[in-house]
Amino acid sequence: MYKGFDLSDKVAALTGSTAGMGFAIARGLAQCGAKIVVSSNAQEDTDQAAHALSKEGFDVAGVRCDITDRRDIGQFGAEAKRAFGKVDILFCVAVGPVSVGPVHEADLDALDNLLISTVSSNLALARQFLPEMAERRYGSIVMMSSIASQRASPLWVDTAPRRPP
Amino acid sequence: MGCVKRQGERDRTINGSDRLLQGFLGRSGAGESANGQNSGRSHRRAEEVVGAAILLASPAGAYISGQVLLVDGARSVT
Repeated sequence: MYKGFDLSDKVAALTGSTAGMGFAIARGLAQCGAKIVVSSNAQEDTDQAAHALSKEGFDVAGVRCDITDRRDIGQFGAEAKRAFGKVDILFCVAVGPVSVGPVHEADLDALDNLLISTVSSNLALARQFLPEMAERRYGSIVMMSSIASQRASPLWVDTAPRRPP
Repeated sequence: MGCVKRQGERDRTINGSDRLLQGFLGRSGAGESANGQNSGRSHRRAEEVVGAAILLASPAGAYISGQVLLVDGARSVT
């Protein structure tokens, strides 16, 4: 069998991974053998997701992280690495509050916060793990975005600049 | 992209992509693209993005760097 999808010696940390696509990805990575750090901004949800995956027999830790809070990002980096000794894979799924509507009606502070939570925060997250990935000469950082950033819409003008490649 | 379950009210910052997608589906209807065309995919589930995610995260994708991978269930070709 092809071994390219074998993650049995890898650790993956995912923000926004207690429900929906983030949770599905966490489970998929776990099924490939990875140890998983799940996260959301709510402790209860984080604990529930970790418990659910643990019940399925996977090695899982839960670390709460509000990506709109720079202190949380630093703490998430430290605790995620401490959970299993390293992080090989970072999945950035979480975003901050998203406003929907035409740009001329959008609140400018909300736009600023959106850029911070979707761009700056994820770069700050990446900084937590990049040096050690480079040292080990292995690492993967994946930032999820929305189809709204690919397809223009008058309703989602403010989401279009999210997460440059 | 996959169809997702609804987030709780207090779940303010997680899974924003999911919530965007929900909004998208809510406006255009399941099985239809933004311009009302049918994408040919009647069911969208969160699990449908997992394969692409594993590829990017695994040694299988080690030769892929700095790319944007569109996972949209053929929306972009309809």
